[in-house]
Amino acid sequence: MTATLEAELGLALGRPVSDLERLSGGTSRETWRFVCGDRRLILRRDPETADVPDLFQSQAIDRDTERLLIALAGAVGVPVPRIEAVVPHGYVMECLAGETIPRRILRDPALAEARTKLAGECGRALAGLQTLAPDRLPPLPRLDVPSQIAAWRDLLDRLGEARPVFELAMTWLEDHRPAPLPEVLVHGDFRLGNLMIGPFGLVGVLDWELAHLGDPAEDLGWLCVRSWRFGAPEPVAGVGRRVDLLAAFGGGVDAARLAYFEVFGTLRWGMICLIQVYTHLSSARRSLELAAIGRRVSETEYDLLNLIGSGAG
Amino acid sequence: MDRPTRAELEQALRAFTDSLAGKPAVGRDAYLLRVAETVRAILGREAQSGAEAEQAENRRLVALLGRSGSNAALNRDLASKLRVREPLDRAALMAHLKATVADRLAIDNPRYAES
Repeated sequence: MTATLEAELGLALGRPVSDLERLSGGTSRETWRFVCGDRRLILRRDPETADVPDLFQSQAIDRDTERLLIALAGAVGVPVPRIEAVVPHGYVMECLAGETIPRRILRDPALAEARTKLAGECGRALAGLQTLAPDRLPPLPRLDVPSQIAAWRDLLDRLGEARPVFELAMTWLEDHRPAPLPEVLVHGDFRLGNLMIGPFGLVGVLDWELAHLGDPAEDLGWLCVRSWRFGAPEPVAGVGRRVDLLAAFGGGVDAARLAYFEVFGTLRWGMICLIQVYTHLSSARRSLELAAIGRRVSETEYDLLNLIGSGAG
Repeated sequence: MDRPTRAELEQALRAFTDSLAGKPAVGRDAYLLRVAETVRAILGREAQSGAEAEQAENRRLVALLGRSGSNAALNRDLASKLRVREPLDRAALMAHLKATVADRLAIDNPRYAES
C-alpha cells in the first residue's frame, strides 16, 4: 500500500517520494507525511474504498472544498499550510514545523511566549477568516442555531437517548438566542489539537473538515469550551482571557454572544461524544477510544449545568 | 443508563486487549493502552458506586415526576417534558440534575469536578 502510494505520488509530483507514513487516524480523510527532494510534505487523501458507512450524516466537507478553503484562508493572512499540488485522490501541502499536542502546548517551556500571545492570535485569525465573503466561497453547509438544535433533537430521538440536561440546554439556547448576524465562514473545529504552535506563536490552522457557514461567534465560543482547555485554568484554549480574544477579533461579538456560543459549543461537543459512542456501538468502527469518549458526556453535562443552571431559565 | 454501559465498556476493553495479544504496544496502541487504563479506572469506580447512584437517581426522578418506573423510562419522560417546556419544580429539577451529573462524574472522571 505504502510503496504504491509513494510511486503514485512520485509520478504526480515529478520527483521521487520516500518515507511515507500515516499520521493520524480516526477521521474519514487520511493524513500522510513524506519526503520529496529535500522537503517534507503532507498528503491529505480520501481512502479509495468507502470508509465506514456514515450513520449519522456527518457534515464533513469534501476534499476539494477543504483544499480551496485552506488556500483562500491563506490568501487573507490566516496561518495555514501552503497548498503545493493536487494529486489523485488528494492534495499535497507544506509540512509546517510546530506542536499540535494540547498538553505539550500548555506545558512546554519553549512555548511560553506563544502561550501568552495565543488568545490574540486566535482572535485575529478568526477575524481574518471572516473577511472571506460567503458568496465567494465554494458551497458549504449552512448551520444556524435553530437547524442545529432540530438536528440534535432528531438524532437523540433516533438513538433513543433521553438526556434531560441536553434538553434543558436546547430550550435555554432557544430562549436566549441573540439577534442573528449575517453568516460567515466558520472553521468548525478551531481549538487546541487543530492549531499548530511554534515558539513565536500560531503557525497553522489545521483540520478544516467541519467548515460551514454560521454565526461569527461560533468559532470563538468553541475555543472557550472547557474541554478544549485540557485541564488548564484560563478560558481561551486554557491559556488566554476572553477580553483579549474579543479585543483582537476586533468587534461585532460582545461578551454575552461569546458566552452564548460557549454554551452552544459545550452542547455540540456533548453531542459529538454521543455520536462517537454510537459509531462504536453500531460496529461501524469498533474502537476503545470511541467507546471511552462516551463517558465524557457527563463532563459536558456538568459544564452545561454550571453555565446555564444559575439563570432564571 | 449511560452509554456505553458497563458491559459495553468491558467488551471494548477486552476487544482491545485481545487485539494486542502480547504484541508490544507502539504508536497508536501505546496511546490506547493509556485509554485502557482510564477505562479500567472508570469500571472500578462504577462497580463501587454505580448501583447506589442509580437508586438515588431513581428516588429523585420518582419524587420529581410523581410516578414510579425504571430510570430509562423516567428519564425519557423527563426529557420529553423538558423539550415541550412542561412546567416543573425548577429548584427540585436543578437539584436532581446536579446530583445526578455529580454522581456520574464521580464515576467517569472525578478530577473534572475538582479542577
